[in-house]
Amino acid sequence: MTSFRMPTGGLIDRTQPISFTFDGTAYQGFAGDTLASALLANGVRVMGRSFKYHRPRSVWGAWVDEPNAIMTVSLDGRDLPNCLATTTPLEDGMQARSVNAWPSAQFDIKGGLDLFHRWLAAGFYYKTFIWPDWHLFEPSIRRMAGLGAVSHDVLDGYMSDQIHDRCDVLVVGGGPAGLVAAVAAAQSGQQVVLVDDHPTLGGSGYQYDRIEDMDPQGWVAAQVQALTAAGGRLLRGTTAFGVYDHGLVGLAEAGPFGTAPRLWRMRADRIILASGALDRQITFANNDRPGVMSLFGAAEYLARYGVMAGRDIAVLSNHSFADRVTQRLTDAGARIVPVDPVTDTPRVIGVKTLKAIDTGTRTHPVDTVLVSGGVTPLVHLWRHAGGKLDWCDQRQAFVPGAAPKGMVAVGAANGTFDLEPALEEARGVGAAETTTRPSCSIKLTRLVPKLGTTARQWIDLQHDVTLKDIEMAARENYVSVEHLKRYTTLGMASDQGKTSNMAGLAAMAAVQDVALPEVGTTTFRPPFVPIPLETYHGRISGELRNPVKRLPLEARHRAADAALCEYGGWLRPGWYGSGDPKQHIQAEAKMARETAGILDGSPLGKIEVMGPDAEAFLNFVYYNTIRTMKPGQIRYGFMLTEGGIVYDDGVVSRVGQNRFIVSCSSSHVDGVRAHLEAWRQDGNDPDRIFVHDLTQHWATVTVTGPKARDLVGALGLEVDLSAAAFPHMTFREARFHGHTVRIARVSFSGDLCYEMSIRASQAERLWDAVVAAGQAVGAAPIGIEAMSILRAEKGYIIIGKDTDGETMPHDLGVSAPRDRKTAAYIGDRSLQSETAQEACRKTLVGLAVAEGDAPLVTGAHAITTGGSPRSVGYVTSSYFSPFLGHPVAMGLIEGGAARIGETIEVWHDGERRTATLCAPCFYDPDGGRLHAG
Amino acid sequence: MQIFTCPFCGPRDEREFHFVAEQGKVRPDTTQSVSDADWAAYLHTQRNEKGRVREVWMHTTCDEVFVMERHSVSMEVLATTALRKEST
Amino acid sequence: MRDDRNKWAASGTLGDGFEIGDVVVSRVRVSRQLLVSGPRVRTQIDVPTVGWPEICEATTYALSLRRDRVLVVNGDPVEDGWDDATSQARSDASDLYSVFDLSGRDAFNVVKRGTEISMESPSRSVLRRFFGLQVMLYRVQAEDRFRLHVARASEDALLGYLESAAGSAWAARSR
Repeated sequence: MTSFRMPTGGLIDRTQPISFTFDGTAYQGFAGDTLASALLANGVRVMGRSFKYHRPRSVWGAWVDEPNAIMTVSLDGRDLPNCLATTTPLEDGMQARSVNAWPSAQFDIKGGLDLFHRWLAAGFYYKTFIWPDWHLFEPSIRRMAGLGAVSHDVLDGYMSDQIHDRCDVLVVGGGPAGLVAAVAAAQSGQQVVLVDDHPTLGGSGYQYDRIEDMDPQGWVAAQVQALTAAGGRLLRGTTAFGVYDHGLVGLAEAGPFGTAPRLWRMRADRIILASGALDRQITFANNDRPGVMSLFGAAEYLARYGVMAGRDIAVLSNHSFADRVTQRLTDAGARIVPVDPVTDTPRVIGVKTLKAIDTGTRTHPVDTVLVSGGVTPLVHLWRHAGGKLDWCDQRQAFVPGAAPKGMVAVGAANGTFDLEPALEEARGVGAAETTTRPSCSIKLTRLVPKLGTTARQWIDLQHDVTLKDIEMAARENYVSVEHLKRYTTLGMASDQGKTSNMAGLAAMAAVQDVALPEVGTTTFRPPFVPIPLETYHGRISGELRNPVKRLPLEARHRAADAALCEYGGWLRPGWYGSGDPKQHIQAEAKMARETAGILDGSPLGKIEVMGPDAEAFLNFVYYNTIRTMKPGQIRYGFMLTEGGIVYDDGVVSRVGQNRFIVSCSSSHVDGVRAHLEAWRQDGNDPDRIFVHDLTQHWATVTVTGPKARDLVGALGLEVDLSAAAFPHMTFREARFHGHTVRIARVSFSGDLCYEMSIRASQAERLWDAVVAAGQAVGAAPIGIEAMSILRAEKGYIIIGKDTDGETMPHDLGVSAPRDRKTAAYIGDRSLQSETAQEACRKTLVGLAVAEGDAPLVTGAHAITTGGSPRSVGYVTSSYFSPFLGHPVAMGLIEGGAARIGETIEVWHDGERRTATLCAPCFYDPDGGRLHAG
Repeated sequence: MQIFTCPFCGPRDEREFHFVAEQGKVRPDTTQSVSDADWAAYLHTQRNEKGRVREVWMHTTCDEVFVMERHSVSMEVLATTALRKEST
Repeated sequence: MRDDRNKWAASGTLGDGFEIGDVVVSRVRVSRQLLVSGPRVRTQIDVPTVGWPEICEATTYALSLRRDRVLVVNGDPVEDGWDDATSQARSDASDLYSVFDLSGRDAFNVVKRGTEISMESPSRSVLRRFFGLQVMLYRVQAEDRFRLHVARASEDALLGYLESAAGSAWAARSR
């Protein structure tokens, strides 16, 4: 026991000592201590160095308002940076290290930086280091500044649990007011949840000798008992960090050290804000020195932890509430020297150890200066919810004004600083009675910072912003509170201005000679305290962050050594085989032209559109004419946006008079479904059109190539596959082991091609049969990469690759509907606009290169020659064709379709090449192989 | 997250919904002549009001398209209206 | 394209379910799932309709999805397509949705980790966004037994989220 630890008192357990180290030195504390209370108990003052000037610092407060005591803490091999010593519960074996100091806070080699303070004022980057180029200095500056280092090891299992919950009444704050409000609400039949960020409830209640004639611990226990008996729930160690729309409150529940908080998304019909109040800073010379502390912080250290802040204490205060605390400190054995900050001009003497305070007329030897310039209600959550603030002259503070919907403030958070009126107010609010704010007994003398002193006076301790910085900001006309904040960085540190906001406003008010409320306030934003980013995503990470859709045939692909990758939201085979991909891909594409290739086409959209108006509906949704389709027919078409841009391409199959299957791109299925539903309901009669997305009910096995007919014929499907009976762009139904197979003769490759769809549970059976039949004809599975080459050889586009956000159907050479379709369709009018008719529109062309040249780079720009070149389009697809033995490419080039035969210059990454515009089809332009008889 | 009310499903998390359009735009009859100005207004002009707004939303969970009246500053949801009368 | 075959755990790794702490997830084999849409479909079906939070006790039932759509579970075989007489569109969806039951003392605590939901807030539709996935969620046979239908391609993702949430629920109990 040191002389700063009282022999009795506080909530700590003196029978459970705890060993820990700070900056390498061993100390002892007790269960129930925080790092800060244990260090103070051991007489440790210097706990860190300030951000910019590396000035030695100690604690200011006892909880989340602490700006200085930030430490890196290690326990059992887990390392956490940026721990606030005042809120970190002490655990046996903890090793704490100060930040921003080397080798230790006590003896920091960069302490000399403070000597250069005149050149490190606000905005110093732009002033001191602007010449020759501030970027030269930035890395060094950043290395010297900063708080805490992040360990490179990601903590194993550092995952935030996230859960949704709801309640009738959420009480934020488990101090005296919050506790009685929660009890009253629960006893009136409401479902109540009470949250408090301390491990032990009671808030500032332990600073009183008695509450309602009980000792505080007993009184708190009685409230907790009454609350749980009435069905209320308690969440300790839980911070309400933000209020969001519609009564949603974000709660971060702390777990054991080194674990991520649990996120509660709590929906509350009513929020009672009992978040208490903070002590208010006073601006005076050297007010940042170790030993200068918050008066109410000292009261907390005594009440909760049985720790005396000092022995010879100067108390600087301008209000009547300081008396109660001063009395308790005197009763605990401190010698008090009162100093009046209004009439005196205080200045602290001492650097690492506080030696004395100079009042301007006298010097008092003291070891501690306790400060309170008023009481500031904690109104962050009130403001998150859009509540207004009123300025109170008596309290010299902002108090809750017009309430946001569903929220009410009680106790110190509401400016009700006296205990008994706070309890009465809170009980009334808990029972949902209409209450008005009771009067407050506080007597406070307005305190104005003294400007123009030579000694520096601190405003923002964490960001090292002084009164001089405020004065300079005003001189440079950054007078609006928003500019003041951002120019000086006041209030922008991790403590988010909890101790500096009011001081900053008071300073700017003094500089401009206006009343404080006229300066205004900046926006309070969540989170109230720093929350690890992990909390916001929780288990939505790794494979579960953006899960891919899985094919029914994935096991078969893995067994066949497929390289799998995400494509359009699905995990699909890019190629088969390990090692160099290029050789596999080229071999697959060549094989598909020589014999056949087998492709898993399961992700292809299969959206059924049914009903008496289905035909008219699709005729409106599609650019192409659908009306004239006969059952059994398949037609290729575009869906446009109302702006005339090609949104999706695909085929439509007509099954019957009232039944169609829309086979849209696999990556667009959800979008197309939503598109169809929106138009179905808003603009048509939804009782006569129905949209069923059956994409995943069906698996699709595609066989493409000259041997496709032989292969499919060997499956025993009892379907006449001859060209006459089964022409291109038609489909048939057959049976495979008793199950329906829909066979569509439609080609993505330009070769004879059959797409066979069967219910997904039969996919493996069909696939196995197709692969076995393939072996007999020299065919095998092919992946997406080979497919991309095949379709490019034929000039078949991929939406979003060979089209962009401006591509209209006639740019792709499909202009018949634009010229001839008389029925209305989505995007029709846009195709007649001035832009749509311009001759210089980018149109789809093929691009050929000289014999022996390498393929063009996809994305390379076609440029004008001479003068200052500009882009006239770009290469959209480019591959080496193994079957043709030369590169093939497509691009969107201005006026390209009218410039076939011309040579253009193509630029990429400093390299210039030439290419010749040609028709975008390099393979089987007459279609002989496609319609193969 | 906000809570929006689908006329069929009831109150749900806002992430189940998707904004479709400002309510009140009627598609011009494109089988007749439509001026550039009218078509451009249909495509691009938004009221973008501050305060009470009437919007068309889709509950993507059940695909229901409906009209929601909201307050674009306070985020309050004022009314939810189905496009069609309830059949059952 | 990259070769990401080792970046994604093989489909089906979680098999037919698992048991973690006070949570059991098990695959359910239903004989048939039929999507039926139509302007009067809700009056036309003759099996019990299920919404939220009612507990379904029948073997053959219709899940209420939209004002004009239900999913009939374990019903009789029916021809796909448009039926003019009843103004119904019907599609076999038996292989479209995988079905799982979630039971045990912590089942609802797992559910609350996937979506904002309460027994006091009824819904006419069992469709929900659950861990970001589209599912049907309803109660079967018991107060704390939940049934989930998910599109088959998202089955691995759903099981992954359920496994993670079950672990969290167990850890919360043990704290």
